[in-house]
Amino acid sequence: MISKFSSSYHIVFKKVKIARLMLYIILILAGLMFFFPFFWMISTAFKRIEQCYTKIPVWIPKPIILDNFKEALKWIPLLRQTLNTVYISFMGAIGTTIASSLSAYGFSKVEWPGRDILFTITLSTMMIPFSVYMIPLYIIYRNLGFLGSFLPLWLPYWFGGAFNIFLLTQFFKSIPKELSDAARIDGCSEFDIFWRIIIPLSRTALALVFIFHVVFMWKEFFLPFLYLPRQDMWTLSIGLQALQGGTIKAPWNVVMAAATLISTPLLLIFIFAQRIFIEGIMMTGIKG
Amino acid sequence: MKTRKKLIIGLLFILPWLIHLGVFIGYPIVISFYYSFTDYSLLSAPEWIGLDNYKELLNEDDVFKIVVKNTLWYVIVVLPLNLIVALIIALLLDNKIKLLSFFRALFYAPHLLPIVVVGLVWRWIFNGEYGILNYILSSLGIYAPPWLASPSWIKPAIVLVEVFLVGQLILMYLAGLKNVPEEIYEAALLDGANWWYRVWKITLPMISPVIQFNLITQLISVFQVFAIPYVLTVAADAGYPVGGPGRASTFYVMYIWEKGFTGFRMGYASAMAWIMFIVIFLLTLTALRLGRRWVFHLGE
Repeated sequence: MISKFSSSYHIVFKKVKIARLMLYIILILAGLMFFFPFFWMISTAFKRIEQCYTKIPVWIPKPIILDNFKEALKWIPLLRQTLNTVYISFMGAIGTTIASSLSAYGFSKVEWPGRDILFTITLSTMMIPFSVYMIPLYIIYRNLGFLGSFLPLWLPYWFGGAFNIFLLTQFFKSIPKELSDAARIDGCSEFDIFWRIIIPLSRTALALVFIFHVVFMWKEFFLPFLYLPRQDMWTLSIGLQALQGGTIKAPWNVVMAAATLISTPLLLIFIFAQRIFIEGIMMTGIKG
Repeated sequence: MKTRKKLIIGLLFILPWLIHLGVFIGYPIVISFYYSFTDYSLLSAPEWIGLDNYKELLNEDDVFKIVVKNTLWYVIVVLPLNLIVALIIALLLDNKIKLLSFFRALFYAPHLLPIVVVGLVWRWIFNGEYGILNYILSSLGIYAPPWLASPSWIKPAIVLVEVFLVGQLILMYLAGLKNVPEEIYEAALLDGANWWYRVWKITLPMISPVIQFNLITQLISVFQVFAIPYVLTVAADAGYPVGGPGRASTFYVMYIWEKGFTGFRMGYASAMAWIMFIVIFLLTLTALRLGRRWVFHLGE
């Protein structure tokens, strides 16, 4: 009896083991493919130019040089463009956090007729392709005289964003009703409840909205491309693509060094705030 | 009375958003429809020309025909590819593996890079002469095409880069997978279900809301592809404003931008935008309708 059990147990155990091994192999292979571009970007960034433009690739640069990073500063006005990028990212993030949380409060903690219909409309705006209204929006900005400034890139967010409103509304809804009810009985106004109760309880969600917007704006190419013609107003993304898109092309080791520099803040944020990121995105997956 | 007060308070809270809806979204959508029937060069006021823009697009504009073909090819290839690759990786990750957070972060990280960085790194990898990809291919004895300079190979190159960016989809799927109750799998195992059955009959239906959500959001974004093809092919000495060798990688929104912002034909560009909007709208509607049949919601 015992030997019969143990032999079939062994077969099942072996099958499972092989399956798991294959699982890991596939994941590692896929992982390598996702990792390789990072490796190659950094490797190229530290190479001397001869090791870059060779027929036989140099996998790990010898010697490792830092000159490319200094060179990059000659090709891109790094300080100026970083300031521009930081400015629009943070201005937009502050605005969207404030405006979206106010709106989310209105959609979650106040009962008023038509609220849910308007919320559904809000959600459906996320399905409208930007290209449909990008031209008139550009013309509006032009008529308002905004085109010479950064305004188009951060001002709209001071009026909220559909995605953030959705995220925060779901979050606020999970805060127990009793807290607001008790405060109302105590005579607090709705704004008091918003400011003194809901906001302090929502720190994580608000931090998420803030960080997501900063990252989104830092990564973004199309919006600055559309609205920022003047070179001194360029963001890092536009400056970077000019290294290959401009009339004079920078050598690839310099381009990769610049790329590495520009990516570093985002990767740092990711490493330190990884939890918030992954949880935030997965939260939208669940609610979606 | 109470209701009226609450109405005012509610509206006050969402006032910023109402302004956004009206000024930054609603009005532009309506007015862009109007513009599509005009000739508008920004230098003078819009001039009504009726259906002329649409007629020109559908009958005379040969580049438009190429652009539509390119975009349709792209959507048909990339949309299912992204959804399936992300799903497979998510299914693999959902197995209580060691170093889950490491792998998850690794697959998501590319999505976090500035899109120009992604484009440039791959532009270097795809470089015809010195790119690492062609080196690997030729040392394996496989044909190494001049990816970014070749009208036939530029599109597959773009597809590969887009797959590199599926990290966000993977996370969405993972979230949905986490929500599938363990007991269902245990019951199935007790009934002797094999892996294939479990995935097909249990996992996929249980995450069908997430699949539908991803399908719709990806549909909308894939149609509007711009940054990656732009960065991969941008060159000051190219013979075209945007879009790869011989228009092979000029996609819809790139052409809208070209006609509107470099060609100063805002009306024409608006007409293009509306054609795309209608197509996307119909497809989204279809996805939602079909969803009512095959999307399974827990607790219904």
